[in-house]
Amino acid sequence: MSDLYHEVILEEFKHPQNYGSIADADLILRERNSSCGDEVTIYLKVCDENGQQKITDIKWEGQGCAISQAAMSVLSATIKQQGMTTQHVTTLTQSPIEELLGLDEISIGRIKCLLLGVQAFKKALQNKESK
Amino acid sequence: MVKYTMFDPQAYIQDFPILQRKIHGDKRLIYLDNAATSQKPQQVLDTITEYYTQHNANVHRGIHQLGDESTKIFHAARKTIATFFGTDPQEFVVVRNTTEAINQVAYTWGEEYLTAGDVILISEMEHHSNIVPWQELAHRKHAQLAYLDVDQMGRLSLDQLRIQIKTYGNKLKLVALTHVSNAIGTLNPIKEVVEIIHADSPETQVLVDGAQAAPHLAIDFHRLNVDFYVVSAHKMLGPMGMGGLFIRRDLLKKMKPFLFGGGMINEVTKEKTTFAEDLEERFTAGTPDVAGLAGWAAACEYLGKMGMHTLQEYDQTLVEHALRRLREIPQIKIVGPLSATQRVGSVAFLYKGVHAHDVGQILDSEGIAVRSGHHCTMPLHTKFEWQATVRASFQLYNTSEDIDALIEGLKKVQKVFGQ
Ligand SMILES: Cc1ncc(COP(=O)(O)O)c(C=O)c1O
Repeated sequence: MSDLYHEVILEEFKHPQNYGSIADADLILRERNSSCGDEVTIYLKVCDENGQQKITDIKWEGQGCAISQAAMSVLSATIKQQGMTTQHVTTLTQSPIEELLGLDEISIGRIKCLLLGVQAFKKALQNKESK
Repeated sequence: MVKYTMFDPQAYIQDFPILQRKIHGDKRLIYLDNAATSQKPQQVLDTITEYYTQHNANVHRGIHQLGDESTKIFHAARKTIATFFGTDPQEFVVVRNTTEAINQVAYTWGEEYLTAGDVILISEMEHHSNIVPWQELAHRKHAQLAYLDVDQMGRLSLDQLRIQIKTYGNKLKLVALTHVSNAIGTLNPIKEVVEIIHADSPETQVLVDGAQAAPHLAIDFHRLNVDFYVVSAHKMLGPMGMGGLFIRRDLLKKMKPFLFGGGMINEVTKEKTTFAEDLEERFTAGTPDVAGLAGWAAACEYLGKMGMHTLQEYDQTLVEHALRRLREIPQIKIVGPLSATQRVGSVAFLYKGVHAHDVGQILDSEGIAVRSGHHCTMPLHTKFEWQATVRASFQLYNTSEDIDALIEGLKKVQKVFGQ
């Protein structure tokens, strides 16, 4: 039927992992794609590891298209599993996220949806650096 | 009303070569994104090719046969296009698109005639290209940008217009409105709007954004009695990169040219320049896109052959069919007027629980091209709290079967998302 909307994506969209908020979060990141209204808010618990911020817990809330929300779901799961640092998250590109979602190559118009979560980390890092 | 003319799209579909191509393997292309840009008939493509293969030369310069041919084609095209819009070449400034036309008015007329405290009135349903240039101008001039409301049914209120005119008095310098909304399809009562403005505030200028009207309605610039009317060729079967700024002659005469350089001058000395007396020349700086103009003229002739009244009637039948069939799907909420007679060219909607991009993507997998997003009308979407809408928009080559295919496609959305 529609290749893009296979089970992984619909499952992640309907039953997102790590969905919710953390009351005493160390960091709260927000990103919104105003051209389509997709948005995510990411709550993080972090600890210092060799001067980097290691993520020890993550939750998120959001709304938008199935791609943006499913991508955020699998991203949050990977971050948690691997105990990624925030710096590491900012280096993630399109293809590892496509892989997590079991996609070959997403159409050019949907790349922003796919990378909404990563963009939240990038922006936070930029803001920090510009301060 | 009895309809004497029955338009048969089947007779014209073959004119559009792109409609023969397949999408995602073997799917028929069902192109319902015409409000973004229309497809082009062979007649337009041939005209452009013929220009470059047979006549290409710069205009108004060389004394040689090709130069003469090119100059003739240039003037003939300008005449055809201007006539199509109920005016003549002396009131027709060629631009790249609607956006550029509006910017040009802001940078020329706006810079010259607007002062601090003046008011520009637009509506909440404007395309960004009829918002942002005015915002910028208002900032530069310390003027005010005011808005007419759009109601729940997607309409403007003429009573509110009367009140605004009274409130702003002689500070109201410009009313800039869209003829047809690209986002919700509303056909605005421009004639009444103009009558009210002329009666209550005769000094106020009126600009009408005709980007979505020109592809479907007979436009008579003089009869509309507006000061500026702006259009894009690419939405009305013509090429991209061509647009029209129609300006009332006595106003154009007073306006300073926007672009300076070759072609628009009378005499140039080291110190100063006098500009061409002829308005066509004065407002054509640099080498024009003759092939593009010829292509656009061919599009006007193509549409003119069928007659815009016939095409408008046909558009009404498509809009009506779309409204009726979309109502069959309970998850769908149509935005904008619910009656076809108040609409032109498109129907946009929300699908409950599914984002517009997901709807668009699933339709695409069926070969159906629609537009999803805010359609460059963010203030309108924000007002009604629509994240994004899905829009199906029509041209003469669309049929009721295309709309039925859209409905089938939307049933797939239901299957995929289980809602
Ligand atoms: C109502 C309206 N105004 C202006 C524009 C801008 O047209 P262009 O992109 O050709 O400048 C559009 C195009 O979508 C439109 O629909």
